[in-house]
Amino acid sequence: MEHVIIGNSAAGLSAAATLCQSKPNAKISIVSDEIHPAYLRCMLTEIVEGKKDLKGIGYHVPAVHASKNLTLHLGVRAEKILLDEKRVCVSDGNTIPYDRLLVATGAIHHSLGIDNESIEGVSPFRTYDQAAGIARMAGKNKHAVVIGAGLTGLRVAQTLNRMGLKVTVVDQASRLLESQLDRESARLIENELYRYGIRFMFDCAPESFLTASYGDVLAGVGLDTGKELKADLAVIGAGVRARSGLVENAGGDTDLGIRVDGHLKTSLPDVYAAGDCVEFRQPGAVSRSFLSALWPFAVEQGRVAALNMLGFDRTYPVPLEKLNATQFGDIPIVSAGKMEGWDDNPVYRDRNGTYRRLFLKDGCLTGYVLMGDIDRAGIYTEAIKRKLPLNGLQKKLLKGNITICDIMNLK
Amino acid sequence: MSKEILVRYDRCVGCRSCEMACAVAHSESRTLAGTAMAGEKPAKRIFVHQIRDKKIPINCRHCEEAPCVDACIAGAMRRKADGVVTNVGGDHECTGCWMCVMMCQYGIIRAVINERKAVKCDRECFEEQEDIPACVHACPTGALIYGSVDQFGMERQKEFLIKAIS
Repeated sequence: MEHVIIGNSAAGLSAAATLCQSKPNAKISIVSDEIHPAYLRCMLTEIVEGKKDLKGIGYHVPAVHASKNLTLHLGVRAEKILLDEKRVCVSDGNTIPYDRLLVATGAIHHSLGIDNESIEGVSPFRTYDQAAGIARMAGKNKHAVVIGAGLTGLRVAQTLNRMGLKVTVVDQASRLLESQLDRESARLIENELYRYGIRFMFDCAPESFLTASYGDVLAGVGLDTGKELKADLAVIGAGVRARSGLVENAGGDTDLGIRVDGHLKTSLPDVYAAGDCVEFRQPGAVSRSFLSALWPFAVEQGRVAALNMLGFDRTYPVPLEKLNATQFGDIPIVSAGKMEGWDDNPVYRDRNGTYRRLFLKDGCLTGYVLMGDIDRAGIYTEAIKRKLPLNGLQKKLLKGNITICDIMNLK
Repeated sequence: MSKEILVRYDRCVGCRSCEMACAVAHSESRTLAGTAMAGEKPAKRIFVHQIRDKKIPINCRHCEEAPCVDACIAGAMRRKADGVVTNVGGDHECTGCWMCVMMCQYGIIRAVINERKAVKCDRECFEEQEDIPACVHACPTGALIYGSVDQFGMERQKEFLIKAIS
């Protein structure tokens, strides 16, 4: 049986490792349009800062390296799925036959439609090449404008700020991380980043990238409010969308991303999908699709998809809609659940800067924000996943002395 | 079969010697007095919880499909050939992103904020003379056992049968 995997990052390699471990002689082909060997995408800020090189953020999966029957096609883009022949056409003119196909194409930056988006000095921040480009353009005391106050935007903003650039973050929303954090925690994070020198402009969007009189090089960013920001460098930390073209063009179900069933199977026969390119829907007659792009989810999905490709029966539950852990300045922060009407919900604050906000629905935990003291966050995550009725555990969750034993009793 | 730290909950009295031994084993000084005098505050990686009068030691299970390994964006957390899940001693270092803390359903991974490192049971604590983890070595009642799950299961079964027929 021939397994073909499109994508050489978290989901693709996790699937390949699972295939190799379960069937050591499995014939596997991995196709990736990037010429670089696999790297840890979340570590690209280290490339921008010059702390690490490509090798330093290399993603090595031992099981894959040990495989004897695995072919890696780098710098080759999968262009079309030929469903009847069960072959994938790739950009070097070849077609690769498959018995089982895994689409793990991830996500890609799409143009935001801003004037002059492709001039020098403007860059998205998703791939190694883009990170390396930003590293070249960044320089101490230069002015940087970051578009998007989401996780990507804020991470690159912090990095550029550390490198000595004067950073302004611009977002259409009225506050940073609008769908992840409640108003209070967002303000606390904003204050922390402000303390580090990062400036924010909310409720506005970039309209055009302005060039200097002497050439096609970035000089500023024009906002829809009429204001112009000085900029030597503009990083676009928004506009990333699931890469579902392969499945869509072959007639498969897609919307925001690739639609899959409970076994990560697409609507196309023998074609599976995993990682950032996949969309999910909450169970129920009327529910909207959502993307839940997160490195651990991609790794889990790669594994589950591979097990299903091998003929095992493994279901993958709909993942949490928003989940992330990070640190801004000196403040670690973990949050889960889609932020909706959070501001009235139970909150705990102490003098050490610990902040815990819970989002409850029908007696169950559906979201949380932990700042400062983030220990045991995994127990909160588990409580959400299991949809456990809390039965009076709210106090422990707020105080931070919840234990797995408390959760285990509830089933 | 790899060896695990298994718990006989009926024997735990909540003395927390295991917690102390774990912390000291991960300190620079490696002795309680040394750690105290140096003002070190090493983190423990085993936790004795209490629910009403039951004492429950909770430690890392070194899971086969470890959520912390899936979560690690830095490539530090991995499962070694001997079955130990650890984020130390590999090709990549922990960057304190806290994703593993967010995913471990047992809550046994702790964030050492001032060092920007996540810490967990890494089995880097073995006593030089005895090939057993520090927590097991310190337990005065034999509540912590270092052995294979199969062996542990067999012994418990034997105990039960002996009790039943005597």
